[in-house]
Amino acid sequence: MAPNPILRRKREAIVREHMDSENRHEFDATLDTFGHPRYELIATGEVHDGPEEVMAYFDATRRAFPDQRNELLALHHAGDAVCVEAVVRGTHDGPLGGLPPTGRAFELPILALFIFDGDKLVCERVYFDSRTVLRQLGVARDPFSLTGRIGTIVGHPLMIGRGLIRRVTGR
Amino acid sequence: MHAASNRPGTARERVVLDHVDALNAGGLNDALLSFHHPRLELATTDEVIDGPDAVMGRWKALRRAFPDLLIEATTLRESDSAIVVEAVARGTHSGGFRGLPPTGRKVELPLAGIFVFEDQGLVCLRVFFDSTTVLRQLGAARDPLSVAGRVGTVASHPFRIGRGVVRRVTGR
Repeated sequence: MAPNPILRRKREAIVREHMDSENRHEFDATLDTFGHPRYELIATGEVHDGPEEVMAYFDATRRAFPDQRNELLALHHAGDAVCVEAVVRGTHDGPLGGLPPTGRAFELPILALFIFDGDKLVCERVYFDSRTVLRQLGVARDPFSLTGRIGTIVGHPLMIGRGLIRRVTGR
Repeated sequence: MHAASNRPGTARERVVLDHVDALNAGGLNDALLSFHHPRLELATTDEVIDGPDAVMGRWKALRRAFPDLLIEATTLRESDSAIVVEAVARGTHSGGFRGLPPTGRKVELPLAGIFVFEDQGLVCLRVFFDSTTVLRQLGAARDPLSVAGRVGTVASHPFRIGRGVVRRVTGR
């Protein structure tokens, strides 16, 4: 069940300010859009809970991608959430988890579920493909391409060997 | 359009849950009938799979690779024009998958799908998932941000990393 129009307007204003303040790099304002700050990144299994962890997450991503910005494409109001389709773009000009900057740009489609308790934002859960970013940064090979497949065989002889044996023996 | 079951929930929820059930049962023709117009959009690979033949072809390939594929819808959220579903897909990689021979490994993948409706007719399913998660579980990808992954990255991309280091040192 979609919420009533008043609650919709309230929630939509919070979500838009959340995303706009990220684009303005006003992360204190972004933090303030939460009733309880929390991120869940499904791709990596990361959870950042509470103001300190969430601020540290903002710091780390903006060190890696100082110009990171989002563009809202579609917004779906549902019972306990506003589901947002967006594109995130950025340039890898800072260290990313020990990976030195490559200077490359990425463009990533995401689905962000802004979960609400009434009119309080209590979690942003994000679905995206981490490999899309890594491939654009030039640090991931596509295992389905020819060079990728050769790389997989070289890197994982046991795994592929077992797969082949199973295929040959039919087990 | 396919006649929906009598299960509880809204008409659109029934379409979504019947669709998932049909996929799980391997009833791909029934699953296809859930659509007013069959169309898959995979955000992960930026692929659009449009029309009954293309959609059926993709499902058949997926079931060949993961014959025991089971999708569990954990949350349904209905909006004016869509149902946003969170789900977990589980399966065993026991058939060829886009050129990768079967590994016998199990996959457990969280995913989200946006079922887009026009009136009561399902016209598109847009899917978001992390392909690194799948490849790691199949043993076919190292995490480039882990230590082993980083060593692998440096080994296979000396030029790229070299440039990055140069940029870091020179501040450009």
